[in-house]
Amino acid sequence: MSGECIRVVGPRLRVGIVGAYLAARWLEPGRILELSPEPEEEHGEFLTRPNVHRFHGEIGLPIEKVMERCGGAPAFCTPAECADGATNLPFSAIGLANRGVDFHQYWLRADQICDQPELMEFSLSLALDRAASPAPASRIAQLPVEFGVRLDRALYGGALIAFAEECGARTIGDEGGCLTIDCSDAGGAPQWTGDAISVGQIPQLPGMEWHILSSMVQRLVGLTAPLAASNPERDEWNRLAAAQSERMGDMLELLSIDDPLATERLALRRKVEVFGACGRIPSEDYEVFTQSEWLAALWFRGLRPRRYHRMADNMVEAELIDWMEQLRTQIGQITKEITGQVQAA
Amino acid sequence: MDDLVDDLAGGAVKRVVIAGGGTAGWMTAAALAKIVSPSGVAITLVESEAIGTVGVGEATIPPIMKFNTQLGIDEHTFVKETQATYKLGIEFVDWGGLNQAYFHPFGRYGFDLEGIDFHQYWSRLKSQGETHGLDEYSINIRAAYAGKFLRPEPDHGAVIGQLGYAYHFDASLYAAFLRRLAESLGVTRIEGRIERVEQDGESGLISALDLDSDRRIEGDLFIDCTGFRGLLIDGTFASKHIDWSHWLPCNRAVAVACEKIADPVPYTRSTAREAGWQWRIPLQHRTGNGHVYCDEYLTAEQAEETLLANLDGAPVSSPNHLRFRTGHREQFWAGNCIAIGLASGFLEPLESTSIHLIQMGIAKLIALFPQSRDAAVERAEYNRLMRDDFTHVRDFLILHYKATKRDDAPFWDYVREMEIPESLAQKMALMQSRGRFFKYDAELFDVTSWLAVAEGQGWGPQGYNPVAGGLSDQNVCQSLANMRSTYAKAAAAMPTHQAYIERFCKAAPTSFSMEKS
Repeated sequence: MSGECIRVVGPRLRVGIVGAYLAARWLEPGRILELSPEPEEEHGEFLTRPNVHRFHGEIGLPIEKVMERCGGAPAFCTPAECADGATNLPFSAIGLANRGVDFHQYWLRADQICDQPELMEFSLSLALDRAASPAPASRIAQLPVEFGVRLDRALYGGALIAFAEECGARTIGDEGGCLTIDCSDAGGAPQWTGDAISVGQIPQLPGMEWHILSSMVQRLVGLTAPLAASNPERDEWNRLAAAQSERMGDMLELLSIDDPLATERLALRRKVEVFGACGRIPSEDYEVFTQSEWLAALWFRGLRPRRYHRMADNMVEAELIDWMEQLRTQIGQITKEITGQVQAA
Repeated sequence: MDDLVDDLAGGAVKRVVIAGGGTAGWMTAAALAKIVSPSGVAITLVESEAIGTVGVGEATIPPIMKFNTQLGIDEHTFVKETQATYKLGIEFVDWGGLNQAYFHPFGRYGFDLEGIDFHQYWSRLKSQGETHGLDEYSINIRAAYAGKFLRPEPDHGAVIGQLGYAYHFDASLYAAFLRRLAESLGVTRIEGRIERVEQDGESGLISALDLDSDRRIEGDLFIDCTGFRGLLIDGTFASKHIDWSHWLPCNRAVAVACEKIADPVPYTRSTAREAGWQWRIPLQHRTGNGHVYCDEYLTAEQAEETLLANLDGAPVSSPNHLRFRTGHREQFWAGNCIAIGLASGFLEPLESTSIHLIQMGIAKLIALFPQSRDAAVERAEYNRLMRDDFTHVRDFLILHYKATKRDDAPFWDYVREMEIPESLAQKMALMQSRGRFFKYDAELFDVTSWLAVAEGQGWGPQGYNPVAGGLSDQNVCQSLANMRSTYAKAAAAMPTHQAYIERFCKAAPTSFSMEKS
């Protein structure tokens, strides 16, 4: 394998994501980056997760600029189809943790004292998503929420490929001896063997396509440039990719399985059991989804903790109920303000 | 509703009984009293003054600050009352090879450039013949070797802001300090010797501790802080010991305190010896010393002789000999008993992790605090998390032995050639190849720590990640020169460690005759 040549093949948008990163972070004189994208990319919505800001920061192509060109909009959650219907998994925390105790522990206690609005009503992310306000990213960035970006597939793919070309990538040619990154759905797990990297099967859940491709290429550059990679780097790449697939697999199973308690996936079963016992959500190494996404998914599947954590007793009843009301009011005010600003503009 | 069900079934956890005082016992008591007691849980601690404490773990690592902060402890008061000094890291002498030394700092190296790790640029310059060592890019190391200290405050800027620190303290004074705090928070202390552990005939759970003078202490949840004996976890539940002595063969230690002969330095020193290593921990009133060794290669007499021959000052206590087994309980939490501290397992204090592992046990117990006595799910999760903590620390400790080039003694030949866990082999290979490091979520030591030890012992990166090739040589050279200069100036401007202590947290003089070794 040549240490100095990479070829990226597959669907246009995917080649764009991988190619743009390699062009900005890996390509330098004496190296060749060859992009072989499929000619067309269909228009349609493409969801990036909150790490899109870091990704674009690293390549020096501000996401705000891309949003202007491609008509992007902030995205606050992962839309998911479940066995029980459709739901949204918020990127940011639901409610506010207090004195080291997760908000949902307080909510459970408050709900025992008097009926509370649904837990998800305390999510600013979901409120902003419902408001569907096209507020500019610069304004959203001032809010205490993580957000990704929804973009048009064809426009975003085109912008990234153009950027890669500006950085020196070639879109023609057939350089021999390259490391080939195949971004097509190949089935199975992501794998690096010899001179070929396959991104494997990409789950249908929105945001996963972005996450797999962006993290795959970031990991590749972080681990193995130049490409005279020795076994430790390749093994590590495969290990990390496999761990990521497992974490995605856990979420997909939670969303799709009839009875989450019957899962045979060990890490998922642990999440289900520990959450049911005490409301805590165990974290595994290399999680893909945030704690709030897991909480929303578990909640939507009808799982509830049998008790709240004792530390949620650290607030007197009246103070707790008042705090819950204040939080809801603040969420309403923020959402209204954002929507109002846009309408006024 | 579940509370009611638990109450009716007599299974609700309302009474926690801690068996054993010492550092682990009182840390646990204080934390539970502060955080869990307000929800109606009574905390009782049983200890006997007739049973001594081991008292290891006088040196700590930065996360202890979080523990103290959560308890509302004022740092300067704590430093005064425990004869503490500040700790900026650990100096390792003769580990990579004889007459070699390096420093493991608690603060990071350098500043990243263009989003690329600093050490990749440093490796790039090194590959071009640049000779400035990592030490010159660490405010911790600069300050430590200059005998300086300053507590970083928000307005101190980015350089001083990198200063990470912990403490050296007298563990018995820390336990006493926490005892006062815990008792003020409502913990009941009972002086007595545990003679029998009562178990429920049906469930097998512990129901009470029988003490001398026919006293009986009932409880719902029991914390075993009885040290190596593991009176409850081993005696009652026979939780199997997972043995790691084939990777960490040291199994004995001898400890002694000596007179302080100069102002205390703000770092621990670990010096490799013929069949183990020796620690030196400077406190305000004296210096703690110990020799950890493997008795297959060294007798107790030889170990003591080596220790006494290498003290800074005259000994002020009799040498105290200890035996230990490296490893941990298979079940840290069994039935309604949770082992914390030495009862849960032991890893030699090479990286000052003993108190940290206590802290981790307490934090996880609080996060998973059970509603009822038989909490199978919480128990399983606690055991998994603690196993992970021990395993991650274990790998980092083994690195110090495996990465040696010493061939002057059979002990070092063994550790240099031994098989190591796959998880460690993978990390070492990646670090050595191009300085890459991937941290597990729950892993304690980060890239700074791994890089310090690997580079310090001659296993540092052989190459660098060419993403660090983007800036020109001139730019990188200038940036790194600026960093060196900035660190040197910042360290020079800091007060001395002693001056800082004198000004803010000087302890009262103490009599050596009052101390435990």
